[in-house]
Amino acid sequence: MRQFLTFFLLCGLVFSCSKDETALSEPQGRISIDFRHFAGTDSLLIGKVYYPNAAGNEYRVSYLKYFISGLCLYKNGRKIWQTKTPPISINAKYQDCLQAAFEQVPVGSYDSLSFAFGIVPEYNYHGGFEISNDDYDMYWPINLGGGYHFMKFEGHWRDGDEFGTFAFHVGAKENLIIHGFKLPLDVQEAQSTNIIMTMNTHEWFENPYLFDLSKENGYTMGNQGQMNNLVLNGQHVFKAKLQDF
Amino acid sequence: MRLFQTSQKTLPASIVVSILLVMLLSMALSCQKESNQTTRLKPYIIELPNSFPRLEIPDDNQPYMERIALGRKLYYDSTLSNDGRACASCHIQAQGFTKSSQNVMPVLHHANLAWKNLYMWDGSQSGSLEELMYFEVTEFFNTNLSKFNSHPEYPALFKEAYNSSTITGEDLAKALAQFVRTLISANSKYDQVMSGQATFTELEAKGHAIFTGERGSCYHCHIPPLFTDNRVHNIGLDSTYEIPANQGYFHSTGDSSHLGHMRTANLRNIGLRSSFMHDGRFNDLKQVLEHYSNGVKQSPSLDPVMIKSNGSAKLHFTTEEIEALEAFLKTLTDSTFISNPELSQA
Repeated sequence: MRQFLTFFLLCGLVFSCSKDETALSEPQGRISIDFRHFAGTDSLLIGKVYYPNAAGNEYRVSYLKYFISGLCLYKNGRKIWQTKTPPISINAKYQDCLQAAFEQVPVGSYDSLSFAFGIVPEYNYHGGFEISNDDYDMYWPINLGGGYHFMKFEGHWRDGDEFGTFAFHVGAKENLIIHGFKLPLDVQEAQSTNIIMTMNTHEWFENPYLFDLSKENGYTMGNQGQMNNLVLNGQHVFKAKLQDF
Repeated sequence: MRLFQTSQKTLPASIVVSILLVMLLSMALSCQKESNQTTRLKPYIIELPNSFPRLEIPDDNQPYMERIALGRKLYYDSTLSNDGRACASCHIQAQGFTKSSQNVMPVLHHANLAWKNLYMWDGSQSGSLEELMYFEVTEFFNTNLSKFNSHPEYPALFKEAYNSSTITGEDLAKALAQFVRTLISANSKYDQVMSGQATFTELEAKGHAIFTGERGSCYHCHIPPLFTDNRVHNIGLDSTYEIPANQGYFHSTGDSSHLGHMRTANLRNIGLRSSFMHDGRFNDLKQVLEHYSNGVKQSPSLDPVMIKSNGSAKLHFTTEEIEALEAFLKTLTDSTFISNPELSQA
């Protein structure tokens, strides 16, 4: 038996040095959100296809990147848990940039969730959290308040013989959008609860504000009026559902 | 007591446990291989300049003095090429580790390259510095590795730095990446002003305000403190793209929306350059600023951020605004970077 004890102790030594795992005081699971992007009912193809919008223009998306942060879980209208994970960037172009994973979620049943589209105030200042080289373009100018862009949604439009560009950039604390969804979540120990979050890019151009790119400028940086229109439209861009297996 | 009984034989428990112990020890030792090899090396801490983003360094090429020294030796050594050129032949320290001459394509600027992930004017190379240097060694220079393996000094230096018995293209790339990662330009007048050690002149301050405000909107792509955004953009240099050299990122993607998209230039030490844009078409900063003022051309692939909130892609700068921007851009010259003996040929 002593040989087995030695073996298992050595196992412990070998594997304990490989990871620094926090001792868990309560059973915990994981929530993973997969972001998917559609233009109406079509899967969004970045840079390739022109899609019709509500104003009758056609738009083509060249870049769609945004942050989400501050995931909260609720039960019976009471907030039970809030993530401490820093903001996560989602880039619609890359398959490996479409998932937001949240660890150490207390096991239990929840009936709804919310998250911020953008960056919650505790992180939204210059250097508020570490960003990768891939996200370096998301800094928000210091002389406009600092922090980070919440979203860069850029592309081209055409309408008959006319054509042009749009650059829907949103940032600054007054433009944070909080999304909430009724969704029964059963977080189980050491298991991942997977949610599919679908963005319909058509919504950025309508409901309630009709964005006619042929009549107004689609460059929103430094234009709080236009950013406010995007915030209004942005309330409706996501739909959430649990992933079926 | 018997373990792992089979239909043919059984092994004594003591032997099985011994085998398992050996396996476990070898696993433990194998994960220590890199650290055992590097314990003889002197660690080097790359100091992160104020407000620079996190530095991403591959686990298998952490910085050590010996590796950086080896990379520096390689950088200045024409053994890398087959035509007498070294990296430093085109990346000249006095010019900010680039080379520019009028009407000729400016060479990739080796300053703060550690924070980039997209390289070449047309963005045709991407990834880590190690991957970029591997491209330089194996494709750009087409390095003859036998010259290194039979060299009087390099085999011992690579053995010391990387425990390599045979020098490979990957070894050369790793060592070069070590040195290039230390080419950090962060002590210009601009940096000193940002850290409160200096002040802008009135003209420089005006240029800074234009650069970082919506009047110039330069910051959209040239984001301080790196003064790039690691992306590609079409800034309206042309309205048609029949000439392959002007097609840019389209070469990598085949996507017509990328026609004319070029990697955002790093503006650090821009005051030292004498040619600008991917084909060197502009020969001084005034010409560059005149382009943004009145020269931007429309095309279906013009970058969306080029059309400003007034609906125009032309910024219509006044003469005074151009002078102010030029004065500000010259504050990005880092005289310590271009003269630091630790970055020069040893």
